[in-house]
Amino acid sequence: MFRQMLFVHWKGVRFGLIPFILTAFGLPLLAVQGVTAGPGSPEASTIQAARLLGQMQQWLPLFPLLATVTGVTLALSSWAWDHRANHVYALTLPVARWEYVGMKMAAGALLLLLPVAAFWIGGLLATSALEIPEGLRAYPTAVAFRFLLSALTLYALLFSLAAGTLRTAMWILGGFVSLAVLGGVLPEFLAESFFPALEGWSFLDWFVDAILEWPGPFEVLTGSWMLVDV
Amino acid sequence: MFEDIDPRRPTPLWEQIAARVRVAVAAGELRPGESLPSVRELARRLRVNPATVAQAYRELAQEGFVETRHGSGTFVREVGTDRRAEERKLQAGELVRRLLEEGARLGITATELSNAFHDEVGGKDND
Amino acid sequence: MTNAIEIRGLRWQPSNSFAIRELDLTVPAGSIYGFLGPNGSGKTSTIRLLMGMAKPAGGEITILGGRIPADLPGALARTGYVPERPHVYFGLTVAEAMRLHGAFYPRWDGHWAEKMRDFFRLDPDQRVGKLSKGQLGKLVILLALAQRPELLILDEPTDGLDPVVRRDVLTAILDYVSETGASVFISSHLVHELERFCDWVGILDDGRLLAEMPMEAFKNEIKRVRVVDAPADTGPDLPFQLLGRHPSDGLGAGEVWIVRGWEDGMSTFFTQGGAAVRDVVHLDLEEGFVELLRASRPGVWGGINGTGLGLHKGVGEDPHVPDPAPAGEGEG
Repeated sequence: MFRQMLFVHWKGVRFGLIPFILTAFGLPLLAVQGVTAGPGSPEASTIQAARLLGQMQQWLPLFPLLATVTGVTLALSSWAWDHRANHVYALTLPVARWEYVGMKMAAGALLLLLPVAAFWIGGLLATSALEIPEGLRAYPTAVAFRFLLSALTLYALLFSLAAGTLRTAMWILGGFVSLAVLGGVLPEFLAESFFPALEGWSFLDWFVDAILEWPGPFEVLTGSWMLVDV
Repeated sequence: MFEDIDPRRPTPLWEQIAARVRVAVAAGELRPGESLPSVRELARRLRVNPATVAQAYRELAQEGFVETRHGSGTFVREVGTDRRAEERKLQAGELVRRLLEEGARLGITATELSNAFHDEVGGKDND
Repeated sequence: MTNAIEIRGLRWQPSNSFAIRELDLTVPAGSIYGFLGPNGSGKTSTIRLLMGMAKPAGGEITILGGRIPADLPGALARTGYVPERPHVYFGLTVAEAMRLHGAFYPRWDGHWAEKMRDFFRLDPDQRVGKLSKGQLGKLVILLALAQRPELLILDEPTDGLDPVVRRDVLTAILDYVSETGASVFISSHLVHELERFCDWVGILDDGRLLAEMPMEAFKNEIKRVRVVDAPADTGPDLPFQLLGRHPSDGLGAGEVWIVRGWEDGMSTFFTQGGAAVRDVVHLDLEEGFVELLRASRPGVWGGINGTGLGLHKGVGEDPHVPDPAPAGEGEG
């Protein structure tokens, strides 16, 4: 059963996934372009290190971005075929609903390993081709692991959203937007009238911090994505 | 043989099928020992419910026209000349009844029908 | 288990304009049950509720002895379903679609599935999205049958298919039923087709079941009686149920009464009132269906209380009901 689901899932998402696999492989390689290994003098090495770190920081935002987009795309394309077939299969196959959805989610998660593996291999290749100056270390595996977690998080979050109708999606997004707006306006209002202690506190800031810092779910995205670091 | 089985007629389908077989046997179209199509085969051919065919065959078996041999199928039985003549008489009566009903609906009397009948038959003799 | 499907007191109200109220429906085991009704009557909705795809507001649904939705996967494993619109994934090939389907059903017969595929002349490597309507219709019935179900629930399986494909599909269904004695619940517009092979009929209109009985019984249920010198007022004691009356157009004077539950000998009711029965016309399934629908919609052509004299509403006004045959036609 699962084998068939995996196969069908692959057929359903492959056109969307393959570009991401290729990009995930290529990105680390691109990130180390132009940083040549210089001669072994200490000054040259320091300059080398500074340049390398600088380049790494430039490329920094692209890795989490790729992970996010990969996860989101996979989540959305997971349900594309079902939407077309009006979800009849999901509803009428002789398996419990949660079992079906669970298998589907697992199938997608397995397929997610493909771009992750590509990223990891790309990172390994990129960093092994480099001559790392003293004082710096390469973290291809750690970053690949972060890529895995980020992509999985986004995938899992969007997976259930993608299963619903457009109307449901709009409701959920609308809910978030109202929460953000309300979170911005309400504390001020409350602070003025009832709780002076709330003065200056921003719900939005608090919320964003909560999810971006550990143990928030999005910490994976905001942690260190440096392929080469001290 | 079963081309004129018509679900729109008031007679139940199984009865129509059975009647057709009866006539065929009476007229010698179906000979003793000949096998009828299987329930499944006939149902498929006529696109009717297999239960309908089964009922027709049961009816025929009860009346003594056919017999079902378990495993081999349904076969026409030897039907005596008297019985066959009786059956033909029944069928003829049925046809006449339908004719009279039709005539009544159109406002044609039995006498007019009878005259027309004789003309037709007489005409054929003269050909 | 005596009934393949049992619906008791089903209630569902998806919108203000349509509701299913207290629907009772029974499909005896081993029967072929024809589910008839005009567009919008709720046939597909009933089927969706049966399959657990929608949640009713009340009532009980039992399929093959299992309650829906409590025993849903168990019942679904033994039920072959053909929905109104194709449910197979368009990106798969025929062979892949068959393999996917087969992986979920314990009684799937792959060998027979392949034989049927050849009988239907489907190319295993053809993409489902590229199949013609007829081929798609054949594929979905193949999938439902190869599961070797005890019950088939078919929502207009032959709709939009040409006569040749229709025959192939019906033949496949009939063959399967002959062999296994499975029950069939089939909804369709093609009344004449159903008339041939259904042994039970249920007629749905606007969420209500107007009639449910063996097919042969229904065919004798409703008749057209041509009456001359009919009394204007019928009085309350009728031996039959009067569904409607209207002037006889075409040949002959008098009126045509649409009655339910007519028996021979009821003509005395007329003769003792000074009227006479010219003729009692048998109605086939389609005509009976149309008359029943008309009678259940007050205002269109007399209705149950019948004052059709002189009030001959244009039948074209009701899009669901086709033009009737002129009174007096049909075989009696």
